[in-house]
Amino acid sequence: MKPGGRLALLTIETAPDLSQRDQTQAASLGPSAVGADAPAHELVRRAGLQVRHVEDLTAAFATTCAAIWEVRRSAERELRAVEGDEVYDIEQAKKEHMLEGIRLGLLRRSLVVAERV
Amino acid sequence: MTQDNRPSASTRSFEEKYVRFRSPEGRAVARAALGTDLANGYTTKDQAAALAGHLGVGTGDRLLDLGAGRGWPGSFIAETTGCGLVCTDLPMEALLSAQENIGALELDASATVLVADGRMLPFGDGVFDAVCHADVLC
Repeated sequence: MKPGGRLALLTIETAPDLSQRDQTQAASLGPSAVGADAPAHELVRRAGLQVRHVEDLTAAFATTCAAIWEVRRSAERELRAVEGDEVYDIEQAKKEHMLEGIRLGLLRRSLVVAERV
Repeated sequence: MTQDNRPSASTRSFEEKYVRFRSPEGRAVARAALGTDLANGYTTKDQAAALAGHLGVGTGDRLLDLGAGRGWPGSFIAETTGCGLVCTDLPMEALLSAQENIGALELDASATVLVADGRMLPFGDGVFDAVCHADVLC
C-alpha cells in the first residue's frame, strides 16, 4: 500500500478481556478464524499502520445474521434441494451459534480503518 | 522434494460454499438479507458504502480487495467510486463469481481477479492506494 493509503477491515472477533473459558466458548461459537491473540485493531497497529477509526458493528451484525437465518429458513425447501440436508442444517446451526455468541457478549464484529503513514 | 499443490480442506470447503452462493437460491438469500445479490459474508450494501467513504478512493486509485470472495465489497466500491480493483482469494469458485459480477457491473476494463494467498501476495510495495478486507474466513 502506498504511503497515505488506507485499509478498511471488517471482521468477526472475540470480545475483549474474556476469561480463558469464555475465549474457548467464543471460539467454538464463532467462525473458524476467531481466536487471534489480540483485537483486530491491535494486530493492524502491530503491522505498522496508524489506526484511524474503530467501530463496534455488533448490533448490526446480529441483525444481519438473524436476517440471513430467517431468509434461509423461509426458503428452506429450495435451499435443501440445492445444498443438501446436511449443509443446510450446518449453515443454519452456524448462524444460531453466532447469534448465541453475540447474545452472550462473546463475539463482536468490528470495523477498523487504518492508514499507512 | 515435491510440492503439494492441491487445495487445502479449508479451501475446498469454501469452494463448495461459493458454488452455493452462485446458485439463484443463494443469490436470493444475499439479496434479501444483505441488500444485493452480489454480496457474501455479513457486509450489507450500506456497510459497503460506508467502507467506500472511509477509504476515500476515486478515479485513478487502485483498490485491493483481499480475500474478496465473490468480489464483495470491492466491486461495489469500484462501481460507486470509479477506482480500479484487484480481487484476490484462493477458492476458484469465488473468483469465477467475482469475475461474473465484475462483468455484470461493466468493470472489466478497470477490475481483475487473481488467485493469491493473502500471506504471499504477488505485488510489490506501494502498488495500491487502499485495501479492503471483509469477513475473511467467515
